Amino acid sequence: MKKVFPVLFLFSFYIINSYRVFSDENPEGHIAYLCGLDIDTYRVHTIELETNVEKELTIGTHHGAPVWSPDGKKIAFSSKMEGGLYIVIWDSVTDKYKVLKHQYSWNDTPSWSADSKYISYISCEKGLTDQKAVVYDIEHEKEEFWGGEKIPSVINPVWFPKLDILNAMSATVSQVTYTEGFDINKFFEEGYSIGVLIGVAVFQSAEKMLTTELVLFSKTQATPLPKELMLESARFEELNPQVSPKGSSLVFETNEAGNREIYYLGRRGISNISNHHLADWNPVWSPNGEWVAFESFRHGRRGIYRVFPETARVFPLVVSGDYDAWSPAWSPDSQWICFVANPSGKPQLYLKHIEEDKIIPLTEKSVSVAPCWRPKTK
Amino acid sequence: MRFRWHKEYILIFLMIGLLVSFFNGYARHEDGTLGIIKLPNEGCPVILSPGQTFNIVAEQKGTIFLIDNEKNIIPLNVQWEEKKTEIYKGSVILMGEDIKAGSYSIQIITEGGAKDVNPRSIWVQNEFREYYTFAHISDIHIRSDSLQDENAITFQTIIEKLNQSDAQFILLTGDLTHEAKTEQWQVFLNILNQARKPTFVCAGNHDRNEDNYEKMFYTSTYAFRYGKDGYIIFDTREYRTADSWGEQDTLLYRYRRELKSSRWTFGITHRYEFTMGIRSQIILFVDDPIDFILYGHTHRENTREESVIPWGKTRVYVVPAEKDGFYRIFDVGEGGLFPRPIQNVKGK
Repeated sequence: MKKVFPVLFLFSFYIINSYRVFSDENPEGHIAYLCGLDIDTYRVHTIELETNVEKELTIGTHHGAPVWSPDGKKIAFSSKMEGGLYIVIWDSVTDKYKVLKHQYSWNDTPSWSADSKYISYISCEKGLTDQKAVVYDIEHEKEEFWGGEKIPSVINPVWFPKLDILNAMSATVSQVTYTEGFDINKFFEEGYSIGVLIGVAVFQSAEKMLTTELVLFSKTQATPLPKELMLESARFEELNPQVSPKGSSLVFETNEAGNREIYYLGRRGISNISNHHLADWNPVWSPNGEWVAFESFRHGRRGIYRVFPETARVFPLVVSGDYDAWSPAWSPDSQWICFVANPSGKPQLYLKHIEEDKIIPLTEKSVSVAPCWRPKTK
Repeated sequence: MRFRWHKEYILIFLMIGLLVSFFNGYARHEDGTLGIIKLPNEGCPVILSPGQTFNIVAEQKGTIFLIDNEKNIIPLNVQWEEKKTEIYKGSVILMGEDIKAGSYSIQIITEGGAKDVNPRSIWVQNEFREYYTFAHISDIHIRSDSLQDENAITFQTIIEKLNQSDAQFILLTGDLTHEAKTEQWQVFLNILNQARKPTFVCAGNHDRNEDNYEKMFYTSTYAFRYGKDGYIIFDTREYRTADSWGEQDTLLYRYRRELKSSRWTFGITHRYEFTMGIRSQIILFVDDPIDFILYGHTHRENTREESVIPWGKTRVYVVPAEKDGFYRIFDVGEGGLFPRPIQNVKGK
């Protein structure tokens, strides 16, 4: 026992000191966000956290939420130009813009493939009921509609970083039923060639009401997530699918429980991981794949929480009775979040270490929203 | 000839209105923007019964008074919250023997002695009936600084008609001005203040010129109760309609929950489009669908195919443009919302 005490003493000394170092640590990197008086004047800005040096991206107007490429070199966003909404790529190395060539006039919600070579987005003429998922080959400047003709309309398509998702998910059930005409072999063939997307299909039910369903799609193939995995998905409205960084599990929100909840779909099946009678929405995976941040109204005002999906243990991240907090964006090391809050009356960006209480103000401008933390540059 | 007489009538009426406003203590800034009191105001008033509480938002703290139409001043008890932002919020109890049914201006005298008055901001009703009516107008498009501008005259004519109607309040669903210029707002406010009913406004795409709309009415997203029913007024701006990045979704969710117990819940906005932010659509039309949505923007009545929001549960009523002479009165009761035929003051 006498031998253990010095070891414990040294260990506790180490813990205390490492915590001090840890506390004094400041977040690093770049954050891209929208800044302006309001939605009519939003433009993408970037800020370097070490120096506070800012840059405004000036092309077009009415900018949409910025998305860093996984290699940390480019930002994609939508911008109003000449009668349409175009996807624009800004190269942070060359400081040049590339405006994608589109067939339709309305293009929004860009998402990068894991290798930063492709961008998916929605493209349409009217809106919610005719949105097509499009994939743009940046090198060859080629726009292709994905998913075939079976998906009437889709919102928020995002990429799977790896292709083992279906294998992982189907391991939970003995038999998986895909939609009629779905060619699983072709799906994987196309998936290994370029990639696979998941999005939210919007379609009319038999009662002529719109409803949503999660769909997987490759270049020519599309299928709703197999019914063996999704319970009664046709009766409920799913939204915001987010694939884990390793590609082996999925979180999304649905009103299946009577109110909006975050569901987790992994190797052990499907489970409600937020489980509260007030709304829980907008799940975001931490880059290390351990946590899912989400927004909830469970303590009155809109706040940010994190949940460990394997156990569904929920921890508050930013919760206040005086202001709302939303739009969490993880740092590349998964130790910090950047988020939007309105303690000053107007939405501004703030930083918070996930293990500490201190909140660091980042912007003090008219309105700052939609933060996106730059991944580590590869 | 008759039309010219009509215009002169209107001009005299407006002059009287301006004088009434002046003596009532009309105290927006010279350019028409709100002064010390931000809420309530004549575009975002409160309707309540004696004994009930309402919220006030102001630049400075102070003592609060009601001013009735006979210029009687009634002091009220206000509880100011600790200042957390650039503005102060307070809670006011409507208590006092002198408070009768009718319209009141709200006045603040700050600790520094500054005074501000918002006319037509408090409407007292002794009871709220099960069955009531309201009027809906949209797309007024005040174009110039002249009260004799055609759209201004039409607006005036319709306000006169509605003053004589049985509507308990008037909803004005956006495009109040054509370009949101200061002089257009001044004309709009001048005519709005002729209304002898509470007037609730919302922003249209033509009402955007930097933050001019907020300077005139402070907020474009708010809610109120009328008897058993709830009304959610929200902003469907130009191009990106009801985006998900800002604060509106938070407010929409909160208001929807607060009004969950309502007999009927109404969405009041300038337009509905498929491209509207998906979160706003989920809150209002999917997870806990509101019963009715009223808007304008298209300058025509909705078709049969457009009579329900595509998510399937919210009924749609679109009123043609007020600038073309149109308005509509609705009856509300246990059975729902019943539109009367659309009226036109221009004989269209």
